Amino acid sequence: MDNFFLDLSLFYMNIAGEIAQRLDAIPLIMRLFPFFLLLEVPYQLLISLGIIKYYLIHTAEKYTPSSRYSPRISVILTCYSEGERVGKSIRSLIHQEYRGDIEILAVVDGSEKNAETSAAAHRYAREADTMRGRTVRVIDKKIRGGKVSSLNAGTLYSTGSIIISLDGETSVDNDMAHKIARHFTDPLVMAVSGNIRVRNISCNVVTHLQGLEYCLGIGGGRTGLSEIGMINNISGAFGAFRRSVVEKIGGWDTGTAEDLDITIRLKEFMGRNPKLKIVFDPHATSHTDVPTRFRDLISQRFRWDGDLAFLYIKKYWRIFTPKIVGWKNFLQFTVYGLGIQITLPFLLVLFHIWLMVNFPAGHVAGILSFTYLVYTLFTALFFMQYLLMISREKKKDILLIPWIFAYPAYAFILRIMMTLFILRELLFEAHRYSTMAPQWVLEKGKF
Amino acid sequence: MVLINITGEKLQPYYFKDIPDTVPVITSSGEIESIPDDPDGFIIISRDAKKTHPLLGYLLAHEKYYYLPIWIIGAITPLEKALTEGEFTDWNTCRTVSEHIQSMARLIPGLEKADQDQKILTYMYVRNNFVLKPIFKPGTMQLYAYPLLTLFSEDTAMVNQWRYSLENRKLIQKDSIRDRIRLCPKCHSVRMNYIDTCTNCGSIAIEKKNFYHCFTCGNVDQEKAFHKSGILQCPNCRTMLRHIGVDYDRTLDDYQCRDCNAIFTDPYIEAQCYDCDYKDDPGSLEVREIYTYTLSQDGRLAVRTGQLKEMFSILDSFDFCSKKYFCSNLSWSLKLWEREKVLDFSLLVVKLHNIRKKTLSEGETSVTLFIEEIMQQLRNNMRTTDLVTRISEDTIGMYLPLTPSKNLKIITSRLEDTNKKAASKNNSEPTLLWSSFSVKTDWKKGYTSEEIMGELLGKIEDETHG
Repeated sequence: MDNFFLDLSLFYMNIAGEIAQRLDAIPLIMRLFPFFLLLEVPYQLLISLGIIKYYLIHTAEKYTPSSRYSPRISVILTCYSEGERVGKSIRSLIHQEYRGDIEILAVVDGSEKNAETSAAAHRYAREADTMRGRTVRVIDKKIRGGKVSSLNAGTLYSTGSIIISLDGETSVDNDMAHKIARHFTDPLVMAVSGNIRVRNISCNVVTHLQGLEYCLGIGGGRTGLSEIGMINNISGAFGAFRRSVVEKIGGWDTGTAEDLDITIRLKEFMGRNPKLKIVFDPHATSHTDVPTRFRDLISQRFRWDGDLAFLYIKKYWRIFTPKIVGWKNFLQFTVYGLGIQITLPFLLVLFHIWLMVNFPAGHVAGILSFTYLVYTLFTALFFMQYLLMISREKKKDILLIPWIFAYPAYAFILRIMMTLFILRELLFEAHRYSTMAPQWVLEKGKF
Repeated sequence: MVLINITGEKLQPYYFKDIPDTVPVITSSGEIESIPDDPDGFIIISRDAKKTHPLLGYLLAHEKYYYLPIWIIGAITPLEKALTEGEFTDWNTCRTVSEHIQSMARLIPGLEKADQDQKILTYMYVRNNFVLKPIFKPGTMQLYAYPLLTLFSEDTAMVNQWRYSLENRKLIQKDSIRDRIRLCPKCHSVRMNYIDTCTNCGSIAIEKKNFYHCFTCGNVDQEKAFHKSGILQCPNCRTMLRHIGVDYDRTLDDYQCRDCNAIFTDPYIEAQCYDCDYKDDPGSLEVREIYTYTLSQDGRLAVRTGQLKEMFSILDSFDFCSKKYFCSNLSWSLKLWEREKVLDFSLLVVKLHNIRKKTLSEGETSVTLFIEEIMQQLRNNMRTTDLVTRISEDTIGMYLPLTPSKNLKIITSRLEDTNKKAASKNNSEPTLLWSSFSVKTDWKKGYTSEEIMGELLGKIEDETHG
C-alpha cells in the first residue's frame, strides 16, 4: 500500500518536472504574470469606458428638477423577520419627494411567526394617513410562502404602473421615486436597477469591506454595464419594473435568486425585442443592512453564488445563444457569467496550487505580492473613477479609501470560497435548501 | 278591553287576529264614555302614527284611564312605543298584562284625580319592572325627550325640572346611562361646533404645516424652506438631505396661524353655539347625562300610602294665583320699573327641601309641624297685596310689592332662624331653601321675568346640590 502512494506521487512529480522544464522556455515575465487577469481586465476596461460615457452624458441630469411625468408607483416591500427596522423603510417611502402617488404594499411573509414585524408595519403605516398621495397597505401572509410569493402577491394587489421591489431591511433616499420614474418616460425601458449602499457600514471590518464592494460592484460596475447595455442583475433588494412587462413575463418565478431569474427572463424578452432596455441609476439610492459577521456573509454568498451557478448552468443554459438573447447579452453571459463568475474562481484555485507546487515559497510570495499590488492598483483606479464620476456622497465615500488596501484579500477569499459554493450547487443541488423560501415550496420547483 | 279603530275604514278580519268578538269597538275617543263597563285596557288600530298620537294624549291625560295599558295594531313609531305597551302580539299576553295592572291598581288609594307626580308614579308602579326611557329626537334643541313625562306634566315647559324634582325626592332612580351630551350653558342647545383656533390670537385661519429638522446643523424650519427644485436642502447649512431619519426628520406636525404667524402644536378648541352667540372653552359646557329611570323604593312607598299629595297640602292654605298670572304681573312690574323707578318690589322663592327624606327619618308629625311653622311665619309677614304662586309642588314664589330689600331681609332672617332651630333640633340638613330678588338692588336693564325666575330657581337648585 505504501508503495502505491509512493508511485503515485512520483508519477505526478515527474509530470510536474516535465512541465517545469518546458516552462523554462517561457520568458520570466509571462510566468510571473497572473494570466487570469487577461479575462478580467478587458471586462473592467469596458466598464470604465461605460462610466466615462455615463459621466459625459448624464452629469447634467444629476440634479434634474422633478419632471411632470409622475406615474403611480407601487412599492412591494418584502418583509420577513426585520422587526422594528421595517419602519425605517416604510417611513422613507412615505416621505418621498415625489409629485405622484406612491402605494406601499408591505407584504409580511409568515406574519404569524413574524408578529413583531407585522405589528411594526401596521404601526408605521398610520404615518401615511396625514400624507397626501401616500397609502400603506400591510398584507399579512399568515403562512410563509417565500420571497417570490410575497412579490407575486404584492403585484396582485398593486395598482401602480411602476412596480418597485424592495427588501424589508432596505430604506431609500427621498428622491428615489423621482429618479426611478424619470427613466420610464422612455417607453423602451423595461426595468430600472437601483443603487444599493450599505446602511450599517460603520459596524465593523466586514461591513466596511462590503460597503466598498457595493460601491465598486453595484455603484461603479453596474453604471458602466448599463451604459453598454449589459446589466448583469437587477438586485432583489431594490429594482423597479414596468408593470406591463412584469405581467407579460408572468411575474416572478418560483425558487431562489428570483432577482437574477427575472433579469435573465427579461433578457430573453429583450432577445425578441432588441430595442428594449434595462438601465441602472446610481443615484436612485437605497440603503440596506448587510451581514455583520463573516459567517453570515459566507452563508449569504453561498446562496448568491450557488444560485447563480444553478441558473446559468442548469436552469437557463438553453437560452444562452445569440439567437435567443442577442449578441450583447450572450457575451455578457459567457464572459461575465460563465467566465468571470463561474470559471475564474476555479482557475484561480488551480493557478495557486500550481504555483505552490512548482515554486519555492519565496518565489510564490513574490508572485502573490505582485498580484496583490496589481489588484490594489486596479481597485484604487476604479474607485477613483467611481468617486469622481459617479458618487454623489463623496464625503462619505472618501472615507473608504484606506479599505482599498485590504480589499483584494477580501475579494480573493470570497472568490476562493465561491468554488466551494459552485461545487456544492453542482453536486448537491444546494438551491433546494435555501432560506429564501420554505422547504416545501422549493422542493416543488421543476429544476 | 276596548278596541279603538281610528283607521276610518271597516274593520278587516286580519286586524283582529285572535281578539274575541265580545270586545267592544269604538271609532273615536269621544265614544269611550258610552261604554257600559270601565275598560281595563285599549287596543288601537291605526294606519297613521300621526293620528294615533292625539288619541294617546287623550287617554294618558284622562283622569280615569291614564294608567291603563295600550297596545297598537298597525303603524307604530318610537314615540308611540314609549307611550304604550307596544305592538299588539296576542290576546293572552294582553289579558295577562291588563289583569296584572288592574290588580296592582287596586292597591293604590286615590287613583283618580291624581296630580302629575301621582300619575307618573302610578303608571310606573302598576307595570312590572317599568323603565322610563328617553327617546332620541334628532333636530330638537335637547336631543332627548321623555314623552311620558311630557304628557303627564302639568307644565310642559318644566318637564326637565319636574324630572329632576322626582329624582331629587328619590321617587324615581337612575337605571342605566344612555348618552352624555353637551349643551350650550346659555340656551341649552346641543347644536355646538368645536372649532380649532390659534392659541395666540384666537383666529380660525390656522393651517397644518410640516417642519423639518436638519441633523447636520440642527436647523428647524418650514417644509417650504427646505425645498429647492425638487430636492431637499437645508436652508442654513446647504447640506443635501436625502434620507429621512438619517439626514433629517420631520418634527411634529405643527399648526401655524395665518393671521399672527404663531406656531403651536395643539390648537385651542373652542365650543361655539349655533343657536345663540355663546363661545367658550368646551369645559364650560353643560354636561347632561341621559338616563333611563325606574321607580325607587321611596316612590313605591309613596304610591302605596298615597302620602304624596298630603305632605304638601299645607301649602294649599295660601291663596295661590296661577303661575301665568304671576309671571305676567312680574313682567309688567319690570317694565314699569324700567320706565320709572317708582314701584319698588321684591321676589322670594321658597322651597321645602328633602321633605320626604325627613319624613322617613323624623316622622310625619314633626315635619308637618315644622312646615306649618314656616307657613305661619310667611303668612304673618305677608300683606294682602302680595301674590303667591306654586312653582312646583314643594316650591312657592312670592311677589312682594313695595317691599324694599331691607324689609325682605327681615323676612329672610326670620326664616333662617326657624330653619336653623329646626335643623339643630333634629340635627339634620336645612329643610328650607330660599332665594330672593330685590328690584332696587338686583335689577339690570333688559331683565325678563323668565330670566329672573330661572335665576332664583337656579340658586336654590345649586344649594340643593352643593
